Amino acid sequence: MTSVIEFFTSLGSTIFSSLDLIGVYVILALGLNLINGMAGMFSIGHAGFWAVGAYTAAAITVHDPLSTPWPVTLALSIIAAIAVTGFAGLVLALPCSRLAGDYLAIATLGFSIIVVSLLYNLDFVGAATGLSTPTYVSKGFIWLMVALSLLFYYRLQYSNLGRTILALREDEIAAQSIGVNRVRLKILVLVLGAGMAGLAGALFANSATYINPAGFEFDQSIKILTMVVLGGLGSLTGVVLAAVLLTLLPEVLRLVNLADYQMLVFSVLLIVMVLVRPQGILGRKELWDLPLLRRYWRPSGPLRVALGSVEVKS
Amino acid sequence: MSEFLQFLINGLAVGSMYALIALGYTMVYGIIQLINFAHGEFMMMGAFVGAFTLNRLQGTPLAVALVISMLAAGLLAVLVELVAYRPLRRQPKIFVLTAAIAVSVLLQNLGRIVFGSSAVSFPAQFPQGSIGLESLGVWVEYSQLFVLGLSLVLMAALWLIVHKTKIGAAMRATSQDIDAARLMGINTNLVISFTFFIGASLAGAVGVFYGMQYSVDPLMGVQPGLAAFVAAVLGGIGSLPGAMIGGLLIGIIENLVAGYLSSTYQGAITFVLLILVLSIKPTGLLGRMAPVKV
Repeated sequence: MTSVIEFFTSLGSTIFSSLDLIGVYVILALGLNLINGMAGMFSIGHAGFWAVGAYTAAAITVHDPLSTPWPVTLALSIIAAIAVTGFAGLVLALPCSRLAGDYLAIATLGFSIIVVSLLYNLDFVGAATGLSTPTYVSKGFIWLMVALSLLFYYRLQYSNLGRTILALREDEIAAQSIGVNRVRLKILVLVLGAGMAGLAGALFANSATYINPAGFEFDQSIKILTMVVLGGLGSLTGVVLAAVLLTLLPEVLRLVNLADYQMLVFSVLLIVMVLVRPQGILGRKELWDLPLLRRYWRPSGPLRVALGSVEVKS
Repeated sequence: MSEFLQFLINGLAVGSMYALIALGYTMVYGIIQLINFAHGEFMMMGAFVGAFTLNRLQGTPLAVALVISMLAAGLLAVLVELVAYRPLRRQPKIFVLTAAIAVSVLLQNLGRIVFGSSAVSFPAQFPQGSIGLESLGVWVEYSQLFVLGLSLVLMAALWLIVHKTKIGAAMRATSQDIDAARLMGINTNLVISFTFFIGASLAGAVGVFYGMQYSVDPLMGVQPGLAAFVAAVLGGIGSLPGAMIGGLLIGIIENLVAGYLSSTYQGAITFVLLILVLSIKPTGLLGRMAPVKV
């Protein structure tokens, strides 16, 4: 009995101390959900964008090239991280947006592997040892940014642009026939999704005491992908819930001494989800479908966004 | 000049292995339009089976170990296709791609748990050494000769299977139009399984070649897998001669870059090549773009 109580107390303190990390992963998962879920593209190198954001922000806060007071430096680092990461998304999207979706997958996979291998060799960002970073942001600030990202995602989904993205996902040819610019839209989606990863990177670099290349290995991309697939591609509530649960999963595994098996768990979870429940844990349900909220909160727009929640044509 | 020739020879030896892996990617892509991310892991599994056979069963001839490795990798691929890919064939593409990447991570981690994360080495198979061509100042290692020679044999065998046998004709028909092939009475499920088997057994053979020259570890499939994929795209995905040419080219370019610039950027160069090919000629050297019909 005492051991059960102990387990839950340590779980509670783990959850509290992971709050900043949970926030970072929620933003990462939202960014990937935008690309893979809302737009139905397939990026599997999200940790690469995250790394670019984190290292851009860290390079600015650590080297402080303009010698500005710290709040200005922080703001600069966040803006630069979003801009540079968005640009990386643009560079990847340009050659891939005209091609079948699979090429984007391999390009992002290659990108994330190359970014990490370069970081291991770049001396001015500390190579393999990484960088000690100042901790400018609090948990409160991170969650403020999470709230803004959620608002952004929600508003985007029900905007004209969001509906156009959904139309393109459901049928490229039909969407193009009514004047949707496929190439431009796909580039925009990747830039936005990468930009969100850049924000997450800046928040991570400014809240963790140090960052190193090992923290952005390909495993991280798989974790973020699992969050999106577990939550349901395109589902907003599901993906946020999955991001929270899966950020805690490695910590829980560590408590029960199974840390070595975490990637095994993530990969099995991915396979089981796509085979058994491709629409995600919540399926077609969103937060605003709760009976209590339903009377006051009706989004105006396409109501069923989750991929796989629509009948599949054969 | 002799330096350049030496890089060229090393590049050919590595490139022939990339070519064999690229053939598997391109065959699977040609038949079900799927990038099989787990393909590099079939190579890793082949390497472990080969190392296990040679280390535990002392005195096994290399040829026998090679065949066992190829069979093991091939059967694993058939199993993966049956369990994880086939049920998703009619679903949106993103689900089967997700399954493929998940299988890749799963196999890496199973490898790590079952075999341990430390590298395993192959028992020495050949007398160490090399043939020197004094006049050119170039050395060819015995193992490089072996790999080059056997790669050519395997490619020739593949060509014979695809072009001179009944199942090969079925494979070509299925890759042209899977529905029409089924209407003609071809068992397309069997053809797909067979394609996975052949592709992965080539990767398994490469695993043994790789293990003989370097060492065997659970993550060994990642880098060659990526390089071979780029090779398949460079040659034109879906084209068998394209995959062979692409593999050799990537091997040579990597070795020239590593030799003249720095080996640190070897992986980065592969990636830059991929982006260049996709920007300039996405159909690759020998590929053709299929028009989308409604």
